Amino acid sequence: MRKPFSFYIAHWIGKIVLFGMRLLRRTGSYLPGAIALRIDSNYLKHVEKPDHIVMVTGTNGKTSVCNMLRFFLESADRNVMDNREGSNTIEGLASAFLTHNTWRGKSHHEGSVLELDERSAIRVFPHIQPDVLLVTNLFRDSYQRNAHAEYIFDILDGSIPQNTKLVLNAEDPISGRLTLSNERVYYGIPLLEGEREQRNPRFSDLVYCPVCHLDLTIDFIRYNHIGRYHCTHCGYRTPETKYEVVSFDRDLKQAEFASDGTTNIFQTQTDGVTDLYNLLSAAATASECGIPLSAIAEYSRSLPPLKSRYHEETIQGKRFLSVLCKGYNPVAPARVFDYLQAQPGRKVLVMANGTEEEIVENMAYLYDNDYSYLNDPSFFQIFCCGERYLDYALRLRMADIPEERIVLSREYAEIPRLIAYEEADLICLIHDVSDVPWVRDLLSAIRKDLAQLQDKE
Amino acid sequence: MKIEFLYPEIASLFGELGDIDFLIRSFPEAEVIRTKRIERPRFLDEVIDLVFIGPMTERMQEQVIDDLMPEKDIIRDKIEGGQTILAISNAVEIFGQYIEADDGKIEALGIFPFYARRQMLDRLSDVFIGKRGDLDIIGLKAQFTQVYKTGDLPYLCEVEKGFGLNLQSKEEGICWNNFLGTYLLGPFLVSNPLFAKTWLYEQFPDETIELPFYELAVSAYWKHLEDIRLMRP
Repeated sequence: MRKPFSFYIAHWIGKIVLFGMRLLRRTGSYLPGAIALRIDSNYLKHVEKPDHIVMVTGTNGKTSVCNMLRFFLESADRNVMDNREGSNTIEGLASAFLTHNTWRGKSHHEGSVLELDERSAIRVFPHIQPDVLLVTNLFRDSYQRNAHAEYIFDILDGSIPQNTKLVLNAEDPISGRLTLSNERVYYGIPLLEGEREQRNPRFSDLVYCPVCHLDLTIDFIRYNHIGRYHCTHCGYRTPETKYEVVSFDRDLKQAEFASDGTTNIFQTQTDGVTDLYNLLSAAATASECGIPLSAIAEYSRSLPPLKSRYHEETIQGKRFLSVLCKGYNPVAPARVFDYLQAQPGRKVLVMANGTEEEIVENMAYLYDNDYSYLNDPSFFQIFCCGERYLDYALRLRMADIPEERIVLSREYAEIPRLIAYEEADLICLIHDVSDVPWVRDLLSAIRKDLAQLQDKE
Repeated sequence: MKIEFLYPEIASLFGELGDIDFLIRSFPEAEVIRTKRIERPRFLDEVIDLVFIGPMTERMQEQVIDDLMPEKDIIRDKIEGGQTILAISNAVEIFGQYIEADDGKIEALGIFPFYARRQMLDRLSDVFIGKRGDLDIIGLKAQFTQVYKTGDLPYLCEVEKGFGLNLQSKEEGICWNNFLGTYLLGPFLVSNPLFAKTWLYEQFPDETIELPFYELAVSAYWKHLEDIRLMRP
């Protein structure tokens, strides 16, 4: 296809802006793409793309899954481009092509792994048609922008190209019903041995049968609406999986995945089920890209941990965790609380997952999140910090958490001084996506205090 | 005292579970009724002191209107008779004349003189401060609809920051008899303890009301009010 001259102008100016931003040590994740799209609104249609395009979208888990998927594909000697340095909106994708394509606009990659903001699908899919699309899950999120799960479902359902193969979560009855005419495979995790069910979640984005809108029969609920169901009225049931977890040894961090009658042992990064979903979905997608599951299982043993998302270390017998957790998301913090509650020992939790925009935010998310997990005596110090510290404290009190376990510290810098290190077996800092200085400082200060404790002992 | 939460499993999209918790704690002696969408609302047939309904998806809103349409005369009589109802966000629209959607007109219960215009690709959002007498009401708005009045209808508060029933309106909410409707989503009562206290004591002067963690809620409210004032529009 002959490209219009405006494409080349957009590409060259975008490249120059990107180069300039690199000189200024800025990532250039958004602006170069935004400028290119301003010059040529069909830039993404015109730009040369790799032969095989894989995209990952959904509410939670996109970035982690993209990292794993890219690692699996690269381990199989696939030369793939991605948008890891950029945003996942249309501007970020345009920036990614500006980054990876040559000055003449050529692509030298055979494949791509692109993270896509779910709301941006409507703007992106007319220009980029993925061969494989993984949808991790759909929940309510970003109320001001994304409204509710049904709204995002409608956007995706109305825009996913008909030739795209879907990789879907069988336990999500919302995203699992996207564009039903498309080819699809499902992955899933049955209720695991020893796993706690959450039959009465604080909220669920799907209560009634997605087909006939009558009562659903629950087979099990893992959290929120994630689970397996069937409908006695219309016959709807959770779809059959092609990829499924057979067993999960949390101590060894090993999971057995089954597909097409064979099983393989995968190494997981943590002992949490959320990470297991991420790994399974990435493995299923890589397999659908033609990589044997046995090879992916082998690659999982050398999968590098993403320290910025989950970091764990032990200092003098005390576990220190820092976990990335979207601040204003009604699901992610509760998943972390659930995980922490199951951990042994006495715990300190520092909730530093506010963002720079926290002043402007409403506290709606707090009341959808399930804080009852923290109503457990093992959490003996729960820090409420930042500008919204009083709102956090009120939310904890509304979850019946005793006042004496709540520590108010508006200033992040004050927190290390207030932590009862001697009494703690586990100290967990949860922080938001943004790499903000106070979190970095807090992290170093806690590490330093723990090290001093070690020296003292 | 009886409190009926209408369709809490589908009509509490944006943190209104906080309001539900708040009301249950405020009236510890009350009988709490959670009516599912597939059930008939109890307030249609018996005396319920307080009815609460929160926001829902647009498809669900249309189903709820369909379900309630045969009962619109009963609902109108109840409201005229002083039924206390608190409706949040797009639950308010159920009680208006109609909703003008992207793909057609949806008749609503026709109780109040207003209609709503819904544009699904134009989500409006802003923080909010409004004045009701000496009281500041705070919150956040995020909606696909704008409301236009077609007759006289008292409002909840005058807009100081943010937008009102529509982008040009300086009035927020609908306050008629004992019906209170507002587009301030999320934990509206939790975030506005001073207003919640005034409103609940006005509505239920003979009841024992125990506002939960009142001092902490008031401290959080003042801090939030101060922060929203500092924000750029």
